[in-house]
Amino acid sequence: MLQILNKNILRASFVHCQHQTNKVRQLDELKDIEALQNGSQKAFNSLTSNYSVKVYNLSFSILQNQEDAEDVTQEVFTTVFLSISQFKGDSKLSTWIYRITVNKCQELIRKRSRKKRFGIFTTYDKMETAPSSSIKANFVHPGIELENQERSAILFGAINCLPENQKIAFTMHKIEGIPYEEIASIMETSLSSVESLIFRARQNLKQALASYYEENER
Amino acid sequence: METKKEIWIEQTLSSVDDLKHVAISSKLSQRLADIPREYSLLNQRIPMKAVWLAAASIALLLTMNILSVRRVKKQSNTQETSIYSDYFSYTEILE
Repeated sequence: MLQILNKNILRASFVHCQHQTNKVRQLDELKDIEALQNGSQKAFNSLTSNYSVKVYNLSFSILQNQEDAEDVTQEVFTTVFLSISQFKGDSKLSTWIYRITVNKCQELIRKRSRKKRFGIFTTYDKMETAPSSSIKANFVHPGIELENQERSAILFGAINCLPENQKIAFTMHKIEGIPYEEIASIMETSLSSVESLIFRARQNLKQALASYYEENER
Repeated sequence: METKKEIWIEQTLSSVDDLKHVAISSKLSQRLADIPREYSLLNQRIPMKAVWLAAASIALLLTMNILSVRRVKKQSNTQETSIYSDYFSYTEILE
């Protein structure tokens, strides 16, 4: 009986502590936003040191190209610097920054696919349907352990064949570890549609990997 | 029982599970640090006062142009009517 009581007290104090730290974090974020809106260089530097790695890694995983990811990261922080006055605090700062990142990545992907279509005369419909079995396993992520590099290159190749929204949702969840709720507010959609996007992405990946296995690994 | 293919697919799907974040290059962090300087320089170069002054002078120029065009149109209309009336009065005299 005493043990259960102790456990409950501990749990309650843990929840209270978590609640307090969340409040402190929110207050800190509000202060940072205010400083940014006043044009503080120090606040901008702390913002870049807090988010640059996250923004760079997300765009690197989506675009699978170092130079493009660097350009997108710079564009994201330029946009943040220029439009921080428009940020009303409806969402978390991280969500707003991730949303800008995803939008910039989408712009670049669309630009690339437009160029491709002009270059090799493929139709837009073909590129938006289920992934093809012709996976190009040529992207090696530097953050992956040596033993998994070959397999992850195949997986990244398959992810690259997914439709745009599935690719972005899957990358954010599986590779960057962003929770479903945050993905929903980043992509400005419902939680259920994020779940279905990731489920369909997984199904499509399984199909693509199965055909890759039959062609190459057997 | 899972087949060899299914095991391979699952292993491939989980190959990114232990992915570590990549640090950004010093070149990129320098580019990021330069952003406020670049854009505040741009703001310094074109002060808001000058921007408003330019906008106001353009608006003034436009209104003056519109007014003068209207006046010229009115003048030409009255001139035309006087020419016509002169012509018709002359023909009347001839008759």
